[in-house]
Formats: sequence, C-alpha cells, structure tokens
Amino acid sequence: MTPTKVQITPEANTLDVAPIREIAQEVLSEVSRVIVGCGEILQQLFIALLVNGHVLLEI
Amino acid sequence: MAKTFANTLGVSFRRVQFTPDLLPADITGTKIFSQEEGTFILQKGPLFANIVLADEINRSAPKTQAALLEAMAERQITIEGQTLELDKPFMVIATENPVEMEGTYPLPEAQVDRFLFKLWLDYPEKDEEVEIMRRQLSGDNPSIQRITTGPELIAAQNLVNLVYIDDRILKYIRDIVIKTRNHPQIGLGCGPRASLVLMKCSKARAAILGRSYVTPDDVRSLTVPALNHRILLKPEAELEGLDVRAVIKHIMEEIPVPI
Repeated sequence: MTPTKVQITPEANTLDVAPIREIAQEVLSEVSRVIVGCGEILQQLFIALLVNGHVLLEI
Repeated sequence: MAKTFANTLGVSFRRVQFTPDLLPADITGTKIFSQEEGTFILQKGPLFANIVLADEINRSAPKTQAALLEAMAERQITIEGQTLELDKPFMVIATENPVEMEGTYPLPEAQVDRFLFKLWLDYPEKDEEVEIMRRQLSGDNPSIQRITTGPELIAAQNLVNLVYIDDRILKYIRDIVIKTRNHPQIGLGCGPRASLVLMKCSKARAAILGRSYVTPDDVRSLTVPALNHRILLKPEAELEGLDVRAVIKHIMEEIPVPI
C-alpha cells in the first residue's frame, strides 16, 4: 500500500491528542517486552478499545 | 497476548473457554442459595471484566453465543430479572476455530457483523520465531507495568470522538463501502454499520498517531480488518481461490483517494 501525502486538516484545530499517542506508544512498547511481534494487531486492539468495539481473532 | 494487553492497561481480565456444554448462565452469572444468609445471592459470571477473552466461541451452542453477543451489544446483563451494567471499558476478544473443523457452530453473518474488526493472527516472521526461542532460553519473565487505568481510557475514548473528519473522507469511506455492494465477485456486501465503524476507528487511529484529524491513510490501513468479516464472496469467486482481503485491497485501488 503506497502512503498518501494528503493532509486533510480543519482550519482551526485546537484538539490535543498527544496524551492518547503517549498512552498508545507506552502500552505497545510495554506489551512488546513480553510478546514478540504482533505490533499491528496490538495497535488494532487498542483502536478497538478506544471506540468501544469488540474483536474477532482468527487464529 | 490479551492478558498482557489487559495488564498493561491496568484493567481486569477474564478468559472463558467456550465448549459445547457451556451454558449462557456460565458466562453471564446466576443466583445461588447462600446457606449463611438464608437467601439467594448473585454470582457474577466471567463477562464482568474489562477485557474478556472468549476462546473458540464457535465451539459453543448458538444459545450461549447469543448470550455473549447480547452482552457485547447491550453492555448489560439480565440475571433472573435483575439487570446489571457491565464494566467500563468493556471489550470482548473472541477467537474462532477454523470452520472446517468438526463440532463447531459457525457464527451467523448477522452476528459476526457485531464485531468491529476481524483480525488474522499470522505466524511470526523469521526473525521473530528466533526471538521467541531466545526469550524462552533466557528464562526472563518480565513483569508488566501498568501504563494506564480504566478511567483514563474512558477519557481517551471521549477525546477520540472529537477528532476531526472531513466531509471528503466521509465520502471516501462511503465509496469504498458502496463498492462492496455492487462488486462482481461479491455476493453479499457491507451494510451501513461498516461505514460507521470505518469512520470511528479511523478517528482512533489518527489520535494514537498524534493527529487531531483523519487522513485517507487512516481509512486505508483499517479497511481490511473493518470489512473482511462483513463480505461474502460469490461461490464462483471462492472456487477461483479468491480471498476476501485481496478483493478489498483491489477495491481500495479502484476508489480515488481524496486530495
């Protein structure tokens, strides 16, 4: 998948999401001390948690 | 993995192994008679936790699956007339046995739709396989540090709601979802829930990457996990050995990315 360089931003945006980024980074790095790999899946689990969703895992 | 994840988040965790004889009350809870108090007391089932790992849900009878899915949707449980709220946050991570295996009850399409994502746990990469063995050899059992708490996660959920999503991105999501409904290789496409899911989780991805607005990349990177369980290929496409995930990727190549 080629990354797109588009940035669609609102004109005035004062929302500060830095705390979420920090929590996400710390959680993922902490889990990776025990679990090898699975970075993408863990990120997706965290996304699911943030939107109150449930996840089906195909093993 | 689910347990480590929950421990790091500082939230409660329960695991339930689904078996053919598992009953709804085994997961929701029941009232039992207490000799000491001379009355019935409520015994909460394993669904009363923040993160619940439901292992091999397709090994249980539809009745028990329905109880799980109802709790997932309603976020509350009724035990013998008494309705109880489930913990917040509440997330179910369910695993499925491959359907070709004997003694499974495949989940109906309408119920699979209740899951935000369907993720595929692939085998480790070459280097990771070695790393797994190395860690076993070293005998290290690192203790997990709590990074956050349930209340902080709820605050984060509220913040995610405020992430900006432009109208052009909404139309991009719509175009992808609509394309699944009139695609020659797809028998059953995505319902409107798919658009909502893609919108919400794109906002969450933006936030965890430190952005207060959604980009097309957020949508593109989550389209496969958000849609792959909501699509049924036509039998002839399956016979050709086509994979749902490949078809979705192909759709994404066809839909122009908003600029």
